[in-house]
Amino acid sequence: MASSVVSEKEGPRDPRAPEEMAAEDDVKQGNAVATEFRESITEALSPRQTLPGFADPRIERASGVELPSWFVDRCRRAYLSVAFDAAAECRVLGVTSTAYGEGKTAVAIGIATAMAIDTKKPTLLVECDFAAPSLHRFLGLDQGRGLSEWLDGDSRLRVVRGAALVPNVFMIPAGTPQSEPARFFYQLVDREVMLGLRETFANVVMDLPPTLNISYGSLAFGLADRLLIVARSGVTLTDDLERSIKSIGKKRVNGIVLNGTDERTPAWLRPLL
Amino acid sequence: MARYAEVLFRHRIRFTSLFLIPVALAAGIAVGLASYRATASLSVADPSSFGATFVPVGWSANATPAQNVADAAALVVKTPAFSQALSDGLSSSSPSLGSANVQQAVTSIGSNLKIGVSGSHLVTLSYTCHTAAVCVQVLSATVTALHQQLIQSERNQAEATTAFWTAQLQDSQTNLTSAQADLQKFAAANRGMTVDSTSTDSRVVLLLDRVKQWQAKVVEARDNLSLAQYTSSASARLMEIGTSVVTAPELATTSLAGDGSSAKFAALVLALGLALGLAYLVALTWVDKTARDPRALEHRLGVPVVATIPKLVSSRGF
Repeated sequence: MASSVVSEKEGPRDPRAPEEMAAEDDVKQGNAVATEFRESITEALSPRQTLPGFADPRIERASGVELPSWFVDRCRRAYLSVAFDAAAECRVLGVTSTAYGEGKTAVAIGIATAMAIDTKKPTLLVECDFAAPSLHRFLGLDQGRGLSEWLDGDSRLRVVRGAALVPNVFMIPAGTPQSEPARFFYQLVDREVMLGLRETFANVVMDLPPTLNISYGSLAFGLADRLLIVARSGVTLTDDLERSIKSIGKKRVNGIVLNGTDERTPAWLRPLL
Repeated sequence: MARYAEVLFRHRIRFTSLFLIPVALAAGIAVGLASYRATASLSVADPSSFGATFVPVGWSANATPAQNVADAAALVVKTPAFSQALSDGLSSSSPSLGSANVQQAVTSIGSNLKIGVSGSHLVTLSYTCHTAAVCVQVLSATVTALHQQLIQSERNQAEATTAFWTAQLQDSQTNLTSAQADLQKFAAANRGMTVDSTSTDSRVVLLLDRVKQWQAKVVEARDNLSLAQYTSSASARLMEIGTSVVTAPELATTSLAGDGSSAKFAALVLALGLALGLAYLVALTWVDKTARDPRALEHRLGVPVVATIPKLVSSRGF
């Protein structure tokens, strides 16, 4: 395993080598799986040095994300409106919606990008929508393997690095669609994957499954410190939003991101109404 | 309010149509169904100029000349003779009208022509129709026909009165001749008897009384006939020269919406159309249960809307 390959600017905040960190954690927690995750992520992010002039074949680069700056800025407003624990070394923000097609993945990408740009620290976007993954479409990648395959032990962890403008954004796609997504959340919890993420990244954005019609909501939404619900203007029913908030718990929902707004009322008239 | 405004601007084409349709409809009604009113006024001369006690045939001594002529005119316009005169008058004076318009004018004259009085000597006529030019033409023909028919009416009444008194005179004269013949026959049969007013014979007195009675009746009938002939002549003459057009038929208003009666209906249609549009707006807003307004969401759900993101159009579908 190579030592820290992630640059100083974008690498883990802990100056120690990942091997040393893992060894200490193993001793402290006795958790081999956490170690495995950290190793996987470290390997994925920081493979061995490539020879000058040659691209590293094992690092995937996102090529498809082309979010406009105003979109990222709106997403910035969203995450800046959420109050995180100031003492926390890692901020874990979950993004969900009431149903599919409301733009939660795009908003999650936007928020991760904004966080990475603002903090200049390693920021991870984890796609946890195992039933209907869509991150690969945004990244311009094949669906292929992902977090679900890694949790099953079938493959190495697939980490995709952000485009050139935001190299400190890392993304873990969910992989192929799964018919039993609940078990992956159990594994995420049982194997303390989040612990590993928290130690490796300063910001973690979780693209969570839609809230309605899932039975594993308590598992899924418990992974994040803070939650944002994305609603699509003119599409999402207010009743559905109300049900979602009720099912998650109003105290756990930190805000709503109203996506796809298309206000037709002239700007000069709005203040008068 | 913001929700209603948003729905209004979101469906602006639909609502513009919903606004324009009633406006166009109302404008169409205001102009297309516009009613025009042509007016004219006639002056009626005082019959006293024909004699202090002269009362034209058919007139009420207690009514003003204008009221008498207006009453007579109201009766005349219902007669077939007037309809025929009007039809003939319109056909000859306004051939451009066409037979259909003429027929329409003749059949509706009873309901569309209003006869009123203004003061004691002025009769006002107003005719309402949907074409300005037709209104003036019809009222002109009506005034002419009415004038003719009033004269004719006076003449007819006078002829009837004259005919009555002529018959009465003839009858009285016949009876007088008969009574005189009876008296002469009695005198011839009773020669030597005094057959004059000094006679005391009851038969002579009876015969003489009959002769005197019929002589008086003949005189009375002759006087009445003479009076009737004078009255008839004067009445007809009064109608002929005593009624004159003071104000020639002209349009009361020349605006596009006519006399404004159609404008009221148009306003009603406009108000109804706008009310329907408003109801549609309310219904659309009520039916839309989706999340749109951040303030409304925060108010209802008690969760802050931390960001609004405008619609992002992407080929990747997000």
